[in-house]
Amino acid sequence: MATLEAHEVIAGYGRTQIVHGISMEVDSGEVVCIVGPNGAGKSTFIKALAGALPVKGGIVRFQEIDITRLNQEIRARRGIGYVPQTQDVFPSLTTRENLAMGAYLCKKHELKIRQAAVLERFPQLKKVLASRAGSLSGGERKLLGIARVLMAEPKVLILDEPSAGLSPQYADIVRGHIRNLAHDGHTVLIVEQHAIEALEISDRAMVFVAGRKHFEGLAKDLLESEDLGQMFLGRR
Amino acid sequence: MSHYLYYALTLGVYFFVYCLLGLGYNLQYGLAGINNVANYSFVAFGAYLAAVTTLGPSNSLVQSYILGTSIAWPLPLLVGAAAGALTSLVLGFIFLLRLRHQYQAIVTLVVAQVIWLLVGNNPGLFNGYNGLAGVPQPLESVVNLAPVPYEAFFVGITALCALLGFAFMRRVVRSPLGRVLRAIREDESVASCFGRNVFWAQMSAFIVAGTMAGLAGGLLVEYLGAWSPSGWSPYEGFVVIAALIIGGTANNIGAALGAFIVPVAIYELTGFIPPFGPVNAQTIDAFRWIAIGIIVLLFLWFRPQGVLPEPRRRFRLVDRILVGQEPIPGKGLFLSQKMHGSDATSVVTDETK
Amino acid sequence: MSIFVASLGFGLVTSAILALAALGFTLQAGMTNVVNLAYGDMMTAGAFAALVGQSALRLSLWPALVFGGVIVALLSFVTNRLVIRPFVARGTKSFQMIIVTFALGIILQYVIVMKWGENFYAYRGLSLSLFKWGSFELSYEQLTIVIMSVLLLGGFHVLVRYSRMGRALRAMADDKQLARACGVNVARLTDIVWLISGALAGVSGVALAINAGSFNEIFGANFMLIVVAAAILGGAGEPNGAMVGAVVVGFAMEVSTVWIAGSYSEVVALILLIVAVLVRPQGLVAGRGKWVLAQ
Ligand SMILES: Nc1ncnc2c1ncn2[C@@H]1O[C@H](COP(=O)(O)OP(=O)(O)O)[C@@H](O)[C@H]1O
Ligand SMILES: [Mg+2]
Repeated sequence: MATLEAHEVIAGYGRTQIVHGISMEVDSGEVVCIVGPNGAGKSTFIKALAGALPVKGGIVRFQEIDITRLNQEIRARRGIGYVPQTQDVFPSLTTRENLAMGAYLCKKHELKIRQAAVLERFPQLKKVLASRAGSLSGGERKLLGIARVLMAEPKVLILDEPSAGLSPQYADIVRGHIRNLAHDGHTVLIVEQHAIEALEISDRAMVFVAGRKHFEGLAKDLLESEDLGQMFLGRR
Repeated sequence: MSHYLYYALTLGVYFFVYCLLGLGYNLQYGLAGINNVANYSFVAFGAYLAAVTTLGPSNSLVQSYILGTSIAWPLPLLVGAAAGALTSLVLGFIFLLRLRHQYQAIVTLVVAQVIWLLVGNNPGLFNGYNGLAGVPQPLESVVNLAPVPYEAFFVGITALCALLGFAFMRRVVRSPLGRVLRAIREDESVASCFGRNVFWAQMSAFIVAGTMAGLAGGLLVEYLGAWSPSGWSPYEGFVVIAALIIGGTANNIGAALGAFIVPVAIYELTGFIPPFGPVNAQTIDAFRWIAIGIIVLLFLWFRPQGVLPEPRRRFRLVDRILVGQEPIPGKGLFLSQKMHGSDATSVVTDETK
Repeated sequence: MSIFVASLGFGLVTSAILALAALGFTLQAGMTNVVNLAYGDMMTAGAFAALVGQSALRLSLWPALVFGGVIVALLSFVTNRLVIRPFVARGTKSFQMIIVTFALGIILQYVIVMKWGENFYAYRGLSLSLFKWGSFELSYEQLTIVIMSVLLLGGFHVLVRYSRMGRALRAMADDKQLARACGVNVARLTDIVWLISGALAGVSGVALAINAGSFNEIFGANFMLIVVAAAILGGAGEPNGAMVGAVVVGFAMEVSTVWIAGSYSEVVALILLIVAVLVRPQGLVAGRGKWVLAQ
């Protein structure tokens, strides 16, 4: 069953159209990776899915329900967890408060349980619970961003370049977490620049170029495909 | 009959003075994007200085003020203009160096209030809250005219000033400075990237605007014969802003049109409404302020560019070179190409509401 | 010495009123990024609403104060819904937003003039007795204002620091978009912010009128720049900063009267603001200064 489904989605900023009609599906429990060159419209596309940008055309369905016209907060409540590429935490709130914001819609006791579970998953955050998120390192911030979204127990997790700008070690840690999430049955839609590493943890992949989808298939096919690999993954 | 003629001429004086003010304000806000809410302090300085250089030495029994001399007309007007320029130069260092956007607007308001309080509380300066009075009208004894012809004569003086201001502004708008100012207004970070000195460009605009305001102040005090703190406040400044918003921001003819619509048609003409029934002078006054406020809101909502919008100017190659930017093939006009990070959530915020 | 102590007393009252007003101003500006130049006139509206409460509803002084707060809260809410929110939603530039609020203030002020003219009014039921402690003396109304202010500020602090809504408010001040992504109903919280801000404007307007003894159509507008001074001095958009700024400005204004003429106390406040803006734009309580930097 398709958890998240886009049909001929058009999106852009103001009058400039960036995404020119892209369709895709993310099935329950699947990890789908979007790769493509910088400026291809990957972020724009997933912003439109998450509701951070209005959908200018096409349809977005979530769990078989049309959510094209719903605003971002309603989509979040329905179970779409979105971690933007930058500005993914509230810098003046503490780590603990950031996590609480993730579970904004939960009852207090539920919040405690979820926080314990999330901290179990991200032990790195335990020692910075009382610090302001703005003072965390880039890697810690990214983990916090993901952890915050997990607090809501989303039905699909949308991550925009989670490893961008991180040190290699932290990028590995973040990818490790995503792998674990996938392993635990989470549904994940991920955008990545470091395509090879990302494809290795994905089931399926799509390649976006200039606002259009140029490839869709199994992640391992893309990894193995000669010409696509050359074109989009920078491999020779 | 001559009664109406006289009043029509009065309106003419206001029209041309507000044209000057509008043109100056258009330069600093419309073109240079300076957020000055308190443009009236410059008018006040111009008026005070023109007054004290006309009135002659201060006689503290009547009214006390500084710098009292009596110089031949039109020198007091020039002194007024110079006072506006000098005030702008000094205040420009406060307003333009570090402050942007809302901070800038607030600080202009605050500085104007400080000036207002200092002038009012220091009777030695310009006779405090009582203000200056008895300023003779220019060349009164020389031209020796009856009231109505003299009024026409004065309209001529203000019209001349306004025309000069208009011609000057036309040149400024088309000059390299005008282009640089527009570039800064559109995107300061881009303009400053390319090595233009944003501060001094804005400062020049500010000083020119201040000069015109000072001149307008000189004309006003020569016309009214008196000037006191009760005559200038942020609200008078609001009339100028309203005029520009309604007439057309960044459009010189729009500034003139606005000067006709707001200060003349709405503000002064409503003075003709005779009191009737429950309507007295005070309610009429309240009414016109409410009207100005509502019209400004309506314009900002339905026609934010004003009656006459900014003339479209293509950014030609010359302009790009001026700002030190090579044309990028296929990239269109660089000014419309904002510099985006890989993710520009901040730009998105308003769209998604 | 006794003049000094007395001025401390007045400083306390001025600070208390100023803190309420500055909190309302900075809260709304920080959360919504709109600098509301109608705020002073909303304070005036509160004072007149309380007057109506006294005359039409026969309220005594303190219920009238609450009434003023409620009326202005509603006024502020409606203003946001009818005018501010549509303008913001369409992406109106910050300077034009300032002009919008400026126009709203002028309209409000002259609506008051239509009804009440340009005259001075005073409330019924002001006791004339003084609370004395050495040369430190305050009227009972002033004392009540100080206590009320402390309670309200304390309550607000607890709300913002420890409640779920307070957390969401701070999150929203940080990043509206991300707050939405967390499922926060930003539009509703914005409504609440305008309600609180309006209530504080109304209450502080009545308190200011009580403290001054009489008020007219322009007394709130005249006070507004001092409110702004306190808000910016403390750190624009920082609720805690507004309180610190109010104390600094309030005491500076009153204590300066020991040395220089009372007519200059406003100048003292405003010059403090100018210096602060030029020297330490982030304010005393280092805030993010969001509302002043954003376009
Ligand atoms: N906030 C914005 N406003 C206008 N254009 C934008 C904005 N953000 C991105 N763009 C433009 O949209 C295009 C696609 O951007 P994006 O979706 O971020 O690409 P990707 O994530 O694939 O690198 C780019 O050309 C970029 O300049
Ligand atoms: Mg991207």
